Amino acid sequence: MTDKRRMIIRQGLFEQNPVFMQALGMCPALATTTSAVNAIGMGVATTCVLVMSNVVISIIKKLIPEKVRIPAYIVVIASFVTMIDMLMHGFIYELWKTLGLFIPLIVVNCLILGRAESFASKNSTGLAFLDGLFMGMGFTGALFILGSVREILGNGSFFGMQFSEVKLFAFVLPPGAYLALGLLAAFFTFVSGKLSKSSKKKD
Amino acid sequence: MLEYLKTGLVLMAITLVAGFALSLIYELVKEPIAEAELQEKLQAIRTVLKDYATSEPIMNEDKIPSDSESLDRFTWDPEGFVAEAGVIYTSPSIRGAVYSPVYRFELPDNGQVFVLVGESQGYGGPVSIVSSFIVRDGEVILNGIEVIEYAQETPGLGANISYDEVKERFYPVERSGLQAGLKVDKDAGVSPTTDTELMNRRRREEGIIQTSDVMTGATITANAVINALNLMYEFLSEAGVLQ
Repeated sequence: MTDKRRMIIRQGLFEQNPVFMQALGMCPALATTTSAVNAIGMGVATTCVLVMSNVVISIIKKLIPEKVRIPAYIVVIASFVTMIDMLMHGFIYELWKTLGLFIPLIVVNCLILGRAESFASKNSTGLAFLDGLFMGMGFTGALFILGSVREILGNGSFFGMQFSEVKLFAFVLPPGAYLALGLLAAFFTFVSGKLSKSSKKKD
Repeated sequence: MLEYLKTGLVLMAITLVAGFALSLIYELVKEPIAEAELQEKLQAIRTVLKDYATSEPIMNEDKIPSDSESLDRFTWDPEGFVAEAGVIYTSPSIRGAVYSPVYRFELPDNGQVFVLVGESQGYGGPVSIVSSFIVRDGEVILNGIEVIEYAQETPGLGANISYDEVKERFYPVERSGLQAGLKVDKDAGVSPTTDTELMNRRRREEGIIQTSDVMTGATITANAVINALNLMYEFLSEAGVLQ
C-alpha cells in the first residue's frame, strides 16, 4: 500500500507531471503564468478544486450511474470552482482581480475532469485525496517554474521585486509562454529520464 | 424506464446538494465581497482625488471619505436625471453607462470635483473606471482615473490597464481635448511618439491618448476606458455643470 502511495506522489510531481508530461491544463499554464505570484495563485486554486472534486467523486462513485457520470463530475467540479471563485472574490480580492476570467475556466481544465474519470472514480477516497493533492502540486510547481522564468526574463523581476533592467518582453507575451513551456518541458523530460535510469540501475 | 428515472433522480440529487452547498457559501461570502468592493471603490476615489501634477490630495485629507456613510454625504443628484437600476446616464452614441450615485466635492477655492463611476465594453466584459473632473472658473479638466474592474481583459495585454504607467496616459485633459472626444493614437491616425512633451500636449489639447507603446498595441481595453470617459464628459455637459 505504501508503495502505491509513493508511486502516486512520484507520478503527480514528476513522471506524470500534468503540465510538462501530460500537457494537460495548457490554457491556464500559458495564460496566467505572466508572473510567479499569478502562477502560484492559479496553481493553488486548481489544487483546491482538484482535491475536493477527487474526494467527493470517489465518495459518490458507486451512486453515479455510468451513463451520466460525466455530467455528474462536471456538476461537482463546477460547484467547487464557483465556491473558490466566490471565496477568492471576498478574501483575496487583488489576486482574484488579476486572475479574473481564468478562475471560472478551471471548470474546463481537463486535468480535473481527467483525474476524476481516470483515478477518483476507480480508487478509494484516501488515494483519490493523495492523487489530487500531488497532481495539484505538480501542476502548481510547473506553473511556478514557468511563471518565474517568464517573470525573470520578461520583466526583470521576481515576486514583483525588480532586480534587472534587462527585459525580454516577448516572454511575458503569449509567444514567450510557448517558448518557455517547450524548453522547460524538454529540460524536464531530460532530467527525469536521467533520474529514472539511474534509479533503475540501483535496483 | 425505471433505469431512466433512477438516472435522472441521481443527477437531480447531485445538483440539489451542489446548489445547496453553493448557496451556503454565497451567504457566507456575501458580506466580505461587498466590503472588498467598497474598500476598492473608496481607495479608487482617494486615488482620483489627488492632483495630477503634484500627487498631493486636492482637498483636506480628513474630508476624504473613509466609509460608506461619509461617502454618502457627497452624493450629488443632478436635476433631470433619474437613476435606474444603478445607472444614471446612458447615451445613444457611446456604449457604456455612468453609475449612480455621482459624487461632488467642494474645493476651498470655489472649484468643484466631480467623481464618477462608469463602465464600457472591453474585450471580454465590462471595464469600470472611477474618474475625477475638476470644474473651476468655467474651466474643466480631467484630473485622474482609476480602473476598478478589468477582470475579463487578457492578462499581459488589456489587463495592463491596471499599471500606473498606463493609467497616467489618460490624464490630464483640458476642455478642448474633452470636447473633441478622447481617442487612442491609432484611431487618431498619429504615430506614437517618445517625445513626452508632444505626447502630453496632444492629450491635453486634442484628446489623443497614446497607449500603443505601453500596452503592446492593444486598443480594445484602452477604448473601453476612453468610451467611459467620453460618456462621463457628455453626462457632465448635459447636467449643465460645464457652463
